[in-house]
Amino acid sequence: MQLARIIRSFFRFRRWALLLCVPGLIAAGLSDLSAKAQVESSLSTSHDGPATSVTISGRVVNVLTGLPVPRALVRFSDRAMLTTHDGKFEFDQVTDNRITLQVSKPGFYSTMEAGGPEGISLTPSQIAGPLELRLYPEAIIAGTVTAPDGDPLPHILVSARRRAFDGSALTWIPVAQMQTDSHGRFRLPVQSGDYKLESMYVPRINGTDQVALPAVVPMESSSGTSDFIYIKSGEEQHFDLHPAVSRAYTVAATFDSDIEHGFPRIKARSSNGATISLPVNFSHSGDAGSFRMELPSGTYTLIANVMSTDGMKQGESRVTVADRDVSGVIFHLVPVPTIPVELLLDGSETSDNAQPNLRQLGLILENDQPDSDILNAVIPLSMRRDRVMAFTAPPGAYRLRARSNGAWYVRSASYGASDLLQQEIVIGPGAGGTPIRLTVSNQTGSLQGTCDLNGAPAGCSVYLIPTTPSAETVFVQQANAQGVYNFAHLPPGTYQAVAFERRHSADYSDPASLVPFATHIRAVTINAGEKPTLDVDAVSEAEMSP
Amino acid sequence: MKLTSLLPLLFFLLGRPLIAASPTKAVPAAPYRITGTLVSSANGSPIQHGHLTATLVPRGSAADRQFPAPVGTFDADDHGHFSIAVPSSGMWRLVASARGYVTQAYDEHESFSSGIVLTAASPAMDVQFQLSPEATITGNVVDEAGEPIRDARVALMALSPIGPDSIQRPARIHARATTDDRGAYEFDDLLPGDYRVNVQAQVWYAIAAEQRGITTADQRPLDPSLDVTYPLTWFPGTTNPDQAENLSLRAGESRQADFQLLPIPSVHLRILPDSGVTVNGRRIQSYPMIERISPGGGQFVPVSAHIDAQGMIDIGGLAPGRYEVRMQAPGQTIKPALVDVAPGSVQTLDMSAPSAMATISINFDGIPEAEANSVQVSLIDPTTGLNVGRNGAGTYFLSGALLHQRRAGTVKRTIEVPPGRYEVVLNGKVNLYLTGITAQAAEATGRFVTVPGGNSTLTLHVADGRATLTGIALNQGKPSVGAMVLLIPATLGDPAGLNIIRRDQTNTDGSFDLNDVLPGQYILLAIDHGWAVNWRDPSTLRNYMMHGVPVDLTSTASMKETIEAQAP
Repeated sequence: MQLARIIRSFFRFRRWALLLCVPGLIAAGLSDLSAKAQVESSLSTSHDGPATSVTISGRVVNVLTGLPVPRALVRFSDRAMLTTHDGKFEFDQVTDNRITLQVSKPGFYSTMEAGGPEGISLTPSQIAGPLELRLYPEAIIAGTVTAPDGDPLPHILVSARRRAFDGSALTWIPVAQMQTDSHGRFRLPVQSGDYKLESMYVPRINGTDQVALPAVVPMESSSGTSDFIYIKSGEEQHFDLHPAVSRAYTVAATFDSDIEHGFPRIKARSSNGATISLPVNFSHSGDAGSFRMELPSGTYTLIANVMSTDGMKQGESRVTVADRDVSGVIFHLVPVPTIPVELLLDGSETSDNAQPNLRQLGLILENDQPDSDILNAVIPLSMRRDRVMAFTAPPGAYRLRARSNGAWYVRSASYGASDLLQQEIVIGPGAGGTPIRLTVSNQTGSLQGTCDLNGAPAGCSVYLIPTTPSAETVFVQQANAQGVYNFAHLPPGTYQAVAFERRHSADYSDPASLVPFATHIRAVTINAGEKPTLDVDAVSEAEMSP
Repeated sequence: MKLTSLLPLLFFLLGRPLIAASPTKAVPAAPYRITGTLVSSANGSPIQHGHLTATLVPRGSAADRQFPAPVGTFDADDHGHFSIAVPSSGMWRLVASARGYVTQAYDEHESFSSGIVLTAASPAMDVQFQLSPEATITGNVVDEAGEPIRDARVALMALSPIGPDSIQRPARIHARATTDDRGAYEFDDLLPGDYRVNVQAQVWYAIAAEQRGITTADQRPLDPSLDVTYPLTWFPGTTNPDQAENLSLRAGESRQADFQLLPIPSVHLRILPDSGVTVNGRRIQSYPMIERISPGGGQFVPVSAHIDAQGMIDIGGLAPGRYEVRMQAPGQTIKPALVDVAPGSVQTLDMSAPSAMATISINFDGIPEAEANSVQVSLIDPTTGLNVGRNGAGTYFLSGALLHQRRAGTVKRTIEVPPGRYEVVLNGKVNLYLTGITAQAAEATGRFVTVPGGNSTLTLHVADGRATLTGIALNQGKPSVGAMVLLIPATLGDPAGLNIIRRDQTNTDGSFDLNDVLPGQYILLAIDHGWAVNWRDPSTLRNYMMHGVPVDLTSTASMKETIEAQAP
C-alpha cells in the first residue's frame, strides 16, 4: 500500500522520479515469469489517476492435478462468479483500489495448511496479466468402527483433531466429526496436516448396560509422546477402530468437602494410559456432594477438578471396578496450587508514562505433557481473590511463555532457583508459596525489511525465532502486499528469521522444525535501540509438501 | 402392552433414576427365566449374534412414575437361542437387536408389543421372537451440474393409513439424515411400510457469494445466475408433495432414492415495517427474523437483507414455502406474520397491515384458575400434524404454548394462529380431559375448531379423572396372546365426538391395559391375530363391533373385563 502511494505521488508531481523507479520494478517483475504459482504484478502505465477501470481475469487450478477447476466461486467485495468449464473467470470494470480475491468450492481448501488469512490481497491497478488461483483438494480420513465381536458399531461419534501449535504449546483442535452409519463407517473431510482420530466414549449403547471406551488412532505409546496421522491434500486414508466394549458399573463417589454448587469434571485414566472424560450424574438425595459415574471393569485413577467459589480444587482417587457396582469412593479435595507472579522493572531508564502491567505481557504456562484434555494445555494468568495475579495450575511441569504485544518484554524470570527462560517450572501439589519473579524492560530494538517470494515481493508470513533465552517462542508478522514487514519491539538477542508464503504452524521451540528450510533461514542480531533491515526470501507452498 | 414413551428411556440415558432395579450379574439359580429363539420374520431362519435386554414394566396406579432400568445385555448363540434370567416376577418387555434387523420388542406391532408375564405359578416362558429384517433407503443428492451436494437435509416420511374415524393422520417424519461429502445419505433400521423422501439443500455458491446478514450499503445486486435456491424437492424430483412417489418397502428391501436438485431464482420478499413503531417518539429500525415452517418444526434460514433509506427491507435467498416473519427491535417483539412465498416473484409483506391471524382467547371451565396455568393447549393442523400456535411472549418458538399475560391481576390467555381448522389437544395434566368446547366468533365440533381471522374465544370444558380399563382376552378358555384389543367410542363417526379409539396388545397371559382412557361409552373387543386385519375399514370394524362388549367408563372408573377374542 505504501509503495503504491509513493509511486503515485511521484507520478503526479515528479514524473522523472517515476522513471527511475520503474526500471527496477520491471526488472523485478521480469525476473521470474515462469513460476506457475505466482501473481504477476507490474505497473500498468496507461492510467491517469486513481479511479481506473481494469479487468481482472485468470483461472482456478487444482494444485494436485494441475487441471483447471470448473464451477469454483471467485469473489471479492460485492462481486462473484463461477468459473467456466475450463476454470476461467473474468471481472471487468473493476474500480476498487484494493481487493481481496477469494476462491472456494466444496471439496477444496484455498490454503494448504489451516489458519492464516483467506484470499489474496491485490491492488487491481497493478495487475496486468491473468491470475492463477489455487485450490487444494481436501483429504479424507475414513474408516470403520467395529466392536470386539466383529459387528460394526453404528451411530458412534468419531472425531478428528488437528495438531496445531499455539506458540510452542501443542494443542489438538477438533476439526471434524461425524457419526458412523449403520455399517459403522465414517468419512471426515479435512485439510492436510497432522491428526489424531478418536471414537468417543459411549455410555449405554442402545439402552443396554454396555459402554464403548474411546479408541484412539494412532495409539498413544506408553512413553507419552504422541504419534499422529499425517495426511496430505487429496489423499484418502482408511483406519479401523476397535473400541473395547464392556459392561459398565456404577461408581458412587463423594467429595470430602462441600463443593458449594461447583461443577466437577472427572477424568478417568485407565491402566493402559487412555483417558476418558466422564459424564457425571448428580444424585438428588440428601448429601449435596455425591455423584455417580459409569465405568467398565478395570483399574483407574480418577481425577476430579471442581470450580468452586474458593477457586479451583482437585482431588485424586484410585478405584478398581471388578464385576459389580462400587460405592464409597472419596475424593480428598485440595486447592489447586496458585503461583503468584511478581513484576520488577529493569533498573535502567524507564519512560515515565508507560508502566507495564502483567496483562500486557500475555503470560501463560504451557503444559509440557498435555493429555487430550485441551483445557489444560495452556494456563492463563488470572486474578486471585486477593487481587494478586497468579497461575492456577494443577501439579505438573510447564514452560513459562509470554506473548507480548507492547513495548515491554520479559528480561528474566525466576522461580526459586530456576531460570524460567531456560528451564521448565515444576509445580508440586503443595506449591503456592514461592512466586515467579519477572524483570521486564522496554529497551527493545526493531526489525524491518522486505519479503520476496520467488524473486518478487509478496505478502508472506515472517517468523523470528530467538536463539538466546527468551520467554517468547516466536515472533510473527505478516508482510503487506508489497512484501514489507516490520517488527516494532523486539527483545535484544540473536534470532533466526524465516518466511513462508502462508502461515506455517509448527513447534518453533524445537530446532528440528526449521531444518527443512535451512536455505531460507537468515540470522540476525538485534541490539536495544537499533533498527536493522533484513530482506528474506520465503518458502513457497510448493516447497512445503514432500 | 403399550411401549412406554421415549421419555423414560431418555430419562434413563441422562442419569440413573432413583428407583432403579440394578441387579448384579451373579444371581444364583434365579427361578424366573425367559428362553427362546430369535428368528427372522421373513423366512423363519434363526438369527445369529442377537442381543436382548429385558425391562420390568410396572403396572397399576403408580406405573407412570416408575422407570426401571433394563436388565441385559444377553447374547443369543449361533442358533439364535437365548436364555435370560430375570430377577423377579412381573411383566417384562423383551427387546432384541441384531445386525441387519430392526430392533424390536417381542411381537411388536406399531407401538405395541406383548409383555412376557412371569408369575410364581409360571416362572418360565419360552418364546419365538421374530425380528424383521431391516429395510433401507439410500441415495445420492447432486446439483444441476451433477456435483454432489453436501449437508443437504433429507427427511424420511412414514405414511399412516386413514383410520375409521376418517381423520387423515398426516405423514410424520420418521427420520432425518444429512448428506456426506459425496452427497450420500442413508436411512436404515426401517420396518416394512410406505415412505416418502424429500430433500432441502442450500445452494453453496449462493450462500458464499451473497453477503449474509444485514447490509445497508449501496451495493451491486447479486448476479442473477447466483441468486438461486433449491426448492424443497420430493422423490423422484417434484416440488409438489402430492406427486411424491410412495416407496413401499418390504422387510429387508433396499431401495435407492437419488436426487438431482435444480435451482430456481430465489424469491425476494419486501417487507414494509410497521411505521407506527416508535420508542420515545423516535422511529426505530427493526430487523427481520425469518423462520421457515415445515413439517417437523421450524428452521431458521440464512438470508440476506438490504435495508434502504426508507426502512424497507429486501430479503433475498428464499426458497418457496411458508415462513414466519417476525420483526425484532431492541426491547420489543412485534407481532409475527405468516407469508407463503411462491416461486418466481417479488412479494411484499406489509407489517403494518392488520394481522390476518386469528387471535383466540382461551378460557377454562372445570378446573381452578391456578391449575389452568399448567395446562398446555395445542392447536394441531390436521393436514400437516403441525402444532401451529404461537407463543408471542418473547420466546421465538413455533410451539403451541399458551401465552400468559398478567394484566392487573387477571390472567389472559391467547393463541395466535393462521385462520383455519384445528384439533384441540391438551397436555400438561395427565388426568385432565376435554368434555366439550364452546366457541364465540368461531365454530367448534367435537375437538375440532374452525377459527376466522380476528378475535375469537374458546371455552374449553374440562374435567379431571380419566378411567382405566384392564382385563383378559381368552380364546376358548386359554389366554389369547398378541391379540389386538380395541376400545371403540360409541360416538365413532360422529364429528362431534370427543373420544378417540384406543388400542392395546395382549400379553402372554392374555392381559391388556388401557390407561388414561377418556370417560364415555365404548365397545371393547379383541381380535386374535388382529394385527393382520384391516380394522381401519369401517365396515370390517362394524362386524367386529357387533360381537364386542359395551363398556361405560365413568370418570376415574377402574374396570376389569374378561372378553372372548374374536377370530380374525
